[in-house]
Amino acid sequence: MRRFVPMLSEVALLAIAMVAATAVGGWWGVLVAAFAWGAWSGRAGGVAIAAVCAWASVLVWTAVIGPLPALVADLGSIAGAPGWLLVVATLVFPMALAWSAAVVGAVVRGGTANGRE
Amino acid sequence: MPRLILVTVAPSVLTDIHRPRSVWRAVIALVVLAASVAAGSMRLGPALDPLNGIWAVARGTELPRAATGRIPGLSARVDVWYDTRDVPHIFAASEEDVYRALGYVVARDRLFQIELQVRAGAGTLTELVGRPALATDQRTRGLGMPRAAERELAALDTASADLRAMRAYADGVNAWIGQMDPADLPIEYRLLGRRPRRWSPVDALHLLNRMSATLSFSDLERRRMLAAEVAGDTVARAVFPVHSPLQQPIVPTSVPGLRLRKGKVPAPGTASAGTELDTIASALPGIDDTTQAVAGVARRRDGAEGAAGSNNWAVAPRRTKAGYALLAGDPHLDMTLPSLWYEVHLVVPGHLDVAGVTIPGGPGVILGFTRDLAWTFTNTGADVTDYYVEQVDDMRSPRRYLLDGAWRPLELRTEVYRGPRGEVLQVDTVRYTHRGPMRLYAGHWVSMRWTALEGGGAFGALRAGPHAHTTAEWLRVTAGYDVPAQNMLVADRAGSIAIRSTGRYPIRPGDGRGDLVRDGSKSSSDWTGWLPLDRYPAAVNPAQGFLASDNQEPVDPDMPNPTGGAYLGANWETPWRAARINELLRGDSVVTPDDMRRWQTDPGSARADYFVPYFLDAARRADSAGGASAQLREAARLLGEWDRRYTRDNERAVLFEAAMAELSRRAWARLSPLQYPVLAAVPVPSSAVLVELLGDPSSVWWDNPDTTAVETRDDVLAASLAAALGTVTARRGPPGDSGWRWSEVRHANIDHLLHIPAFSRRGLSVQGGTETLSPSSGDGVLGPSWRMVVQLGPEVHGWATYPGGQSGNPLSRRYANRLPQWLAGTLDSVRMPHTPGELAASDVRATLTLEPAR
Repeated sequence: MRRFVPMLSEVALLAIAMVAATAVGGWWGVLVAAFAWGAWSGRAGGVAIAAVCAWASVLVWTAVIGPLPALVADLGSIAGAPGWLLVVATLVFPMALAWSAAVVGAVVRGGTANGRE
Repeated sequence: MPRLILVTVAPSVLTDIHRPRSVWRAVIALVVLAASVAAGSMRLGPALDPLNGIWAVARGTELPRAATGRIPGLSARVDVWYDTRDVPHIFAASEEDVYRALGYVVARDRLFQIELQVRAGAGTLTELVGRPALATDQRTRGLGMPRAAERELAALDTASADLRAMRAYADGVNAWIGQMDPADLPIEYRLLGRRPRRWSPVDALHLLNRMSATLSFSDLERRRMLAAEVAGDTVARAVFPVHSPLQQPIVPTSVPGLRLRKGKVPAPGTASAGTELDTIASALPGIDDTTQAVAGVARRRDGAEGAAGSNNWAVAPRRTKAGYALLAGDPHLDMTLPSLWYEVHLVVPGHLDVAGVTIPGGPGVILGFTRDLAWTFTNTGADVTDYYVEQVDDMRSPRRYLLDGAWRPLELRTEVYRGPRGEVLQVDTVRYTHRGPMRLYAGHWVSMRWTALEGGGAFGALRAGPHAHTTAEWLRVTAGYDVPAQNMLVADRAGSIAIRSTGRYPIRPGDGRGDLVRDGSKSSSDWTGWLPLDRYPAAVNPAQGFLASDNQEPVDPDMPNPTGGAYLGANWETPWRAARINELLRGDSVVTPDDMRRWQTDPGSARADYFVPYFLDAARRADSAGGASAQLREAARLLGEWDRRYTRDNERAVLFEAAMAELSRRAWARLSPLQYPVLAAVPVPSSAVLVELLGDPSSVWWDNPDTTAVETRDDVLAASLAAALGTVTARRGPPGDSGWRWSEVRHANIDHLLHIPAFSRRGLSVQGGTETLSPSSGDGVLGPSWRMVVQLGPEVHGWATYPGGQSGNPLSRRYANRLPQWLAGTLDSVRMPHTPGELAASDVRATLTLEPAR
């Protein structure tokens, strides 16, 4: 518990940073922010979860103020695939991007990139 | 980028080589990163980005309660109030400001639509959607449309009000493009991976050209000559006549109802196939090809008669219950989502106060009303396109053409077709004679003259119309309107009603007909002038107290009329709808606005009233003669039960339509080009010609050449009816099955501009059928695009709706919210406040304040 709360705070802060980075640089913002985090902290742990949380929170906000379910259904119909797959893709993409960029960032710094130096 | 990361990272990885797990982890991360970056770069990243990508569309569906914007060039603040029908009321200090605001407001709701429509008219769809649109763009440019728009713009005086209005509108569109939030980018751009392009004044002219092509292009030469190839020229002239055999003209005559002209369809003669002109004519572009080309991504029009039809009518005060003039407008066009129309109210105090609909992309209200008068159009269908066979110096790559024995240079225009990234997809050359664009058809160079390529009066006239205060003034300021020719109906507060088929009608040499391909090597083949205004079909305050137009022949050629026998065209709708509305108007001398509304979806059919008795009489005669089969007796019984109304729940209209299809097929079997399999199918003659044929019971056309017996009209009618029962039963089950219900047979289909099913509304059950006042075509793509009723009392009052909604965002509540009302045939009351303050807070859904850009 003593380690869990700071970790949660870290993830939350990272998620906020990810939202800001996305607003500024789009999807590249996630890559840059995660790489910077990895290079600065030497760790990749938590950054993937933060990226997922960041983009998921934006989706939730979108659903609150707009007809997101209808959009999911329409896009699914256009793509000829279940709409939820697009939502999953929207969450998996930043996760993969953030994790890999943070690991690379940590390696560049000279860390082990496994979250435990 | 991935290569850069690899190079940077590699030394660090090597230092950790003694820790295999970390190495593998780094390698995997590199692979995942490279894959993610690659996927992201291939549009996945921008698309999935929840803040700026496709998901953002869901956040931009509704207008914010209050918004502000800036437009360069505004002279003062503009207030825009959106009422609860989502109609923007634009209050501006000057007319230019109102057009700037209109551009901004329309772009805010319909940005993708206006770009698509303009690109369709400009022949630049490839720049938006890529190579699949190349053939469409080539056809559009081959018709000379973009060149015409550019020339028209160049001919405008730089200080002219028209040009100022176009520039102002472009300023407004561009201001919106520059200021919009990422969430406001329409979903279509996101799906195509494109960004909107900036607007320019010429775009308004591209849009007008596109409308002209939709409404004024005709293929009379083609259809008549196809018929001539099969059955001879005499027959071709009879089955595709210049004048409709059935008359109920726009300009009233002393004959109150339908009048059948004296005429007879001659027996099929010697085919004239093989002549040079016939071969060329059969290769000319068909109307479907052309309208599809200029509509860009719109679907093919249904060529079936009665598939489309606009209506308008006006009633003088003495025949209305309230004692005020009434006007109804009901243009039938391609129905799309978003809609062809956008409803607005424009106010410049003391100068302009007009409500109605604008075509997104065009500055001004096309159909609508002011506090003094109301106006609406139907298409005239005038023949304003002619073809000329040219002699050129080089068949492969001509540079000169022969005229009166002398070679004249062709104007060569290089057309470059670019893809979305600016890459060149194709380069070709369009050649122009003094008549217009020249193309190669069936091995011959054929030039085309078309009034749409010589326009210049439509925009000014449409802009000037709302400034008029009386019908006389309105007719005067719109006199210069040129193309596409429209039956312009107007009524004013003083109780005056008037109609004029306004357009630019060419005068041809010789017999004056425009349905022939002419010899281009002689200047004597050219048009010799234009029909003067006082010879346009027109009527003002007729004795009958009402006026109506339904795309029928404007004047009865056998009755006194102002045209002096001038050839106006040959592509008239059979006046079934005209007969119906005239019957309704004649039968009611206390007309109310609600009557006008109800008639717009009236299910009655003059065509059914005419043909059903023929079928029943033929069946009865066959029965009396002992020659009726059980199937014929049953079909006649079922048809006899029909009230001849195309209501949704009736179960007999389907039988009648099948019988009509059979009758037409059998009657015109000799026009089937079996002996000329290379020919395209000859279009089916109109039902007016069929009526003419009905008057000749023993005509050879009724005889089936494949049998030894000699069939007569009644034999064919009876056989058609019996066969129809078999057809309908096979397709829809026995009588009584739900498949016979009209609501299961005919539907309205309103497709999204890109034909995306999720954004379309298809299979909508509608009241009305072939040739009713609200006709529904077989494919349901054409239909009533805007319904309006206006009462011109001391306070003008309008009611209206259209099949769609104000927003172009498919996720918006405002995208198709008017559809239920449109389907029910009801109308909304149109608000027309003098000032923003007149709208109660509860009547205001959103506001927009536009300020001059600093």
